[in-house]
Amino acid sequence: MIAWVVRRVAASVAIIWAVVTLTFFVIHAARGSPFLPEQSQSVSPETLDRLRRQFGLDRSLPEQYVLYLRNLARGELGESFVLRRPVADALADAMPHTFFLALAALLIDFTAGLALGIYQAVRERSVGDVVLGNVALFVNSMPTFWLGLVLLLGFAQWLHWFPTGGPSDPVLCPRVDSLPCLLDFFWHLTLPALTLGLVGAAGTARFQRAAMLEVIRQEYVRTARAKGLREGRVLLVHALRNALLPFITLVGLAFPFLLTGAVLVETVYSWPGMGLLAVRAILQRDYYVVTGAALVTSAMVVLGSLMADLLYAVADPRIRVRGA
Amino acid sequence: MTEPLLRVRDLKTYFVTEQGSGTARAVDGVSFDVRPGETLGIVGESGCGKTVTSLSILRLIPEPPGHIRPGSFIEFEGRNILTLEPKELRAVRGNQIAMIFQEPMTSLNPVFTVGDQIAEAAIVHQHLSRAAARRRAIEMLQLVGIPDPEERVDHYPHQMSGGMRQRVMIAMALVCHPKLLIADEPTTALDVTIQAQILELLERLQAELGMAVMLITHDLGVVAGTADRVVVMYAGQVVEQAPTVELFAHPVHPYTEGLLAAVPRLDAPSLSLRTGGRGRLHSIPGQVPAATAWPDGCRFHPRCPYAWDRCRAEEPPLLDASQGDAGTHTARCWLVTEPQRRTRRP
Amino acid sequence: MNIWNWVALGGAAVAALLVVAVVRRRASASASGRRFFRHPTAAPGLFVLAFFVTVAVAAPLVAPYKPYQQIDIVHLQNRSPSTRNVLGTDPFSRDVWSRLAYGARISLGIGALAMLVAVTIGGAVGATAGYFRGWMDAALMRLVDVGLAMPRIFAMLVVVALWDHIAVPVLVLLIGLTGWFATSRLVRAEVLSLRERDFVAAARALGAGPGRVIGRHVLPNAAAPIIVSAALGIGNVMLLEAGLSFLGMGVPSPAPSWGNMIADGWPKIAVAPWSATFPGLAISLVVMALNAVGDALRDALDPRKEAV
Repeated sequence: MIAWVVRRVAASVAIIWAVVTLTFFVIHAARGSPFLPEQSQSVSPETLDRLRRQFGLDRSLPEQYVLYLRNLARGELGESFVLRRPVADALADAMPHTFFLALAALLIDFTAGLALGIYQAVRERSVGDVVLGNVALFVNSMPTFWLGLVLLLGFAQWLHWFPTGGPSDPVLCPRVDSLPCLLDFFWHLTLPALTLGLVGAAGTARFQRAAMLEVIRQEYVRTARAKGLREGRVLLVHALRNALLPFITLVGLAFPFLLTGAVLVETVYSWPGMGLLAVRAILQRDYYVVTGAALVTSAMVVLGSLMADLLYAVADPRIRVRGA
Repeated sequence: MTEPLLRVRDLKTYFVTEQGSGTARAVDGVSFDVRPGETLGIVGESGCGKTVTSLSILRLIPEPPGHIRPGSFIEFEGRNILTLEPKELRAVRGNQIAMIFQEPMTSLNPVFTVGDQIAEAAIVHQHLSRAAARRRAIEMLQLVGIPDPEERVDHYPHQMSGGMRQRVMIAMALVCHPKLLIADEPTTALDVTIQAQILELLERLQAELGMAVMLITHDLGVVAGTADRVVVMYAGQVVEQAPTVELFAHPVHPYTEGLLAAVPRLDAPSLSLRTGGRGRLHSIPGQVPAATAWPDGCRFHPRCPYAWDRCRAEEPPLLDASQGDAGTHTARCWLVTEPQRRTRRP
Repeated sequence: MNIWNWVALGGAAVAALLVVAVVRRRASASASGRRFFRHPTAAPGLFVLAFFVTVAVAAPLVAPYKPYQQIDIVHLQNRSPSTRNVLGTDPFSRDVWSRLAYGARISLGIGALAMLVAVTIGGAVGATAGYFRGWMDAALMRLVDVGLAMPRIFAMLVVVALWDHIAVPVLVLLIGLTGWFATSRLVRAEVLSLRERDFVAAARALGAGPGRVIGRHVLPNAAAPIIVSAALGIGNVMLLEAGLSFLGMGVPSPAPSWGNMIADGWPKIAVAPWSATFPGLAISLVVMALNAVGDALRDALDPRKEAV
């Protein structure tokens, strides 16, 4: 078991390294440079040269790469050209926002998705199942950012129930340090989380319905009924425990989905998370922010699948024993 | 004669098939009794409605597509199971009537320990504490002959062999000392030697606990040694019903005859004559028709070596073929009225 | 929108119905075809797809304006839907319906072509890895691990930055190049199990080379999961394209891809919600149809259901 974990972790590190390396070279090869954004063409060539030397961009690409890796090994992610601050700080500011967004979205995704999927499976082919199934299919087919726009239009622009964007009220709550400001934060979080969560929940419901249906037909479910158990216990203990096993895989897959969705949803709601940071950095050729973001996102994806595998091993006695 | 424990009358369980290809009349008017403490064998090829019959008794038929037709009647200790409230039904399931299934592999839940699965019924029906239920589970494992029950109780089903799993299934079914055990092909998925052990175990437990057993099998050889009486089913109906000895000595229905001929026997050379004296195992030609389209007349006539015009036109009722007490031996065959038509096979 | 546009639109609907009818008749000959249409959403999904494809092909007939035409930049911005502009006009005074019709060409085209690229590469890589196993398998699958470790849209954004002004064929190629990882895993798994089967061993024993064995014996038998994943993948590609275009990194701007249309309409969504909502609705509908057809295909092609 331990050997397996060590192997997986080593492989994960290798994968992250590969992603960072690829990103590093591609973004350096991209047209344009971080010091020549179109809007500020007034920079003199001398200043430009000085800046390039200052950030080590005058060296050859392999040299820069080795330097970057050396810094990375020391835990330094480099300096953002545009933000004029360490990349680690910029990421540290952005990550909690994406984290809370993803957490809230996951909560909506899994609770609503599981509940709907189980309900649909238990009431297979009922009117409720058919209606919910089609709604889930439709929501699951929406572009996430478009659903964001629609919710924004409906609940913020027309109904004024929720703010139109941003993480908090810039005047009253520039930082979250009191209870009203915490509520304000949640109020701002609702629409973006709902956007991501609903699309996810639709997918989860479709997945879980199929998983549950598969399990409900199993003979051990009939055995449980033959024992004289309540239907609730039959479904929620005997069937669900088994139907949740494939769901664990979905948990691992949810990370890339949430990160992908975050890139767009954060743009729609001006949510200052990783996605927004990464998109801006790519547009501005802020090299080390891009590589830093690549590092963090790939780490999260790899971690997600690693966690799913571990969770699976814990949850499924058949695997647990084999691994031990 | 004692009052029957279970009385099944005119049981009809139909299935609505997809795409409107009609209604499958899987069980179509079945009646039989199970008396306290006896072993009743229910025999027939697959597709005859044996399993559906047994599932109907505990109302385990998946609805939809299946449903038990109104007019059917399943009486257990004087109460009609088909009209029980869910709560009353649960009090019967696993408690008064227990069931074991063909596939011990898939009938046990893979994510719970066998101990938990055995204890569950005791907790639900007898309100035992978790600790007491666990002790009961260990006792039950011992009772069904599993070595090291204290250790085995915490094992998962996949850690056990097929024979062990079936023992666990039996332990699980018997934990509340039911009055009736329905065993649906309990040995089919097992090796021959294990089969014999499991049958022996069932017989021993039946004697110890004094319960009635409904043994469902496709193999007359299995009932020969164990059952007191046998019900033979074909095409969703009971076609013959008799005490085991009587049935083996004087089978009336040609289907029973065919089934008997398919049993390899060392002790009854007279029966091996039916195979044409060449020692070859005989099996009935053709196969069970689809439950959506049972043949008109006698449902067995397309496969029957003796069938004549009447069999094609008119469905026989269960006729009394008893040699001793009236009603002990019945068969759904016109041969009972015209025995001279039973000629040697062409 | 004039009478002839309406007639053409009606014609497109009729054509789509005909396609569904013809496919259904053809399909009823085989068991898997019947299973496909037994899926309640299969026929409606097929209809939606056929309808949008017809509209894309017949765009000049169903659309009253050219997609780039700014009807009246002074007076006809952000007009609400009317008989003249059925879906209204966008902030640049262009007819939303006309752009939607022409945009179907771009959005559906990119979806189908990029998926073709992805399936081709994924199929080739998966078959190679599964057939030869050993170091080749290990190397290719590690590559796939890396590919799957990066959220696709992020990878696309980084790669697209290599160009100032990306041409649509390049975009298609790039989307295809970032989309084959999952397919290759699927194909590999299928090939791994197929290569142990007798008919493959027989072909090898008869002296067939690896190319012939893979092409003639293995891939055709692995076709079902590939087709299903392709159907579902087109939807993903369309969503990706929309997202990229929305961020301004996809199809270059005046071209009427559905993602571009949402991006164009977004700033004015409060006053003219139609210019961003209708293209989004179109994407949702088409992706939903693709998912429905994909689900039905999966059920239809699943050999385990053959007996039912």
